[in-house]
Amino acid sequence: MNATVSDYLGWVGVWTGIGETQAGQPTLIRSTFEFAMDGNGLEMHFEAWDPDVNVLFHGVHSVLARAPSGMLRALGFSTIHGPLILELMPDDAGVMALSGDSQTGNRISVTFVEEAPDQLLFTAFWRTPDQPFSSEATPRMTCTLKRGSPWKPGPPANPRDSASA
Amino acid sequence: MIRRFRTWLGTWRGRIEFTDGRSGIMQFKLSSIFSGEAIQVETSFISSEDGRPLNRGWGYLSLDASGQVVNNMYSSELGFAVLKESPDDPGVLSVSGGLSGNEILDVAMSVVGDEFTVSSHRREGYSGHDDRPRTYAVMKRIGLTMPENP
Repeated sequence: MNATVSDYLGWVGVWTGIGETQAGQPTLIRSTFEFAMDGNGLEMHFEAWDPDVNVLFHGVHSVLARAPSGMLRALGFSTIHGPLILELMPDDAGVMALSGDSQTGNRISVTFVEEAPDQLLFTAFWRTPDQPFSSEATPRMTCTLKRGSPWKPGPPANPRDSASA
Repeated sequence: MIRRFRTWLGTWRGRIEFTDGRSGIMQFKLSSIFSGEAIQVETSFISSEDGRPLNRGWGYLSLDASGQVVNNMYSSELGFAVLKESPDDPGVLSVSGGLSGNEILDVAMSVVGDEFTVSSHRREGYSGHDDRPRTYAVMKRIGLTMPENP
């Protein structure tokens, strides 16, 4: 059965984590999922920053939507790869596996896996057309993303705790 | 990218005439993403009779290595396509590319003053000549006008 946009309803929100880029640098990732086009699409935003949040290593803005053929594709723009159209590959429930070629021929693979409630495992890699594919040798960007939530004030501190500290 | 189309940013709305004789209301929302590396375009078309949504769209305008505009786009009616800039008059952005089913989509856009004009033509891919009608829309900006030289 084909996946639908509403299969990812539970992912709507903000997700963050600290991981590693494909080049091996530590990176701070922020990703958001929002419903778009009156619920006919899923807007997806991705940012990978240096840990000081000064340099954007990679940014992707995209929307997942249904083609007239029934297949889901992600239309996007990447600060590294430029315009993109990636196919949603068949996979298990709770997995979004996107794959395709950039306009310059780079092969791109992006996967989100729902590992646990409020936790996604993000994996991505890309290779130039002249690089041979080797699933083991190809470096990947990986990061565990946790759902972000607004800060709320906790219960007031017990005055006796601070007196004894 | 952003330098060329800065004055296009914003939300535009107006009447559209479809090729089958229907008419509706079209809205374009153009916003800058990643500090002007690309422009995101959200489109919606609704029936002028009952407000029913007719078509939704999404796209990105960006530049390729040669400085030409690439418009990767989605339309709930047409599907996905990559349109590339074709020569036209100064101030007019014309893009063209293949749709599934061996069809070609041509789109021409321009902004003059507070009017955004969009015209599109869907034609059969093998034939050099195709006299199917074009859609045509003139939209007005909603909100503040972007200054030419801030």
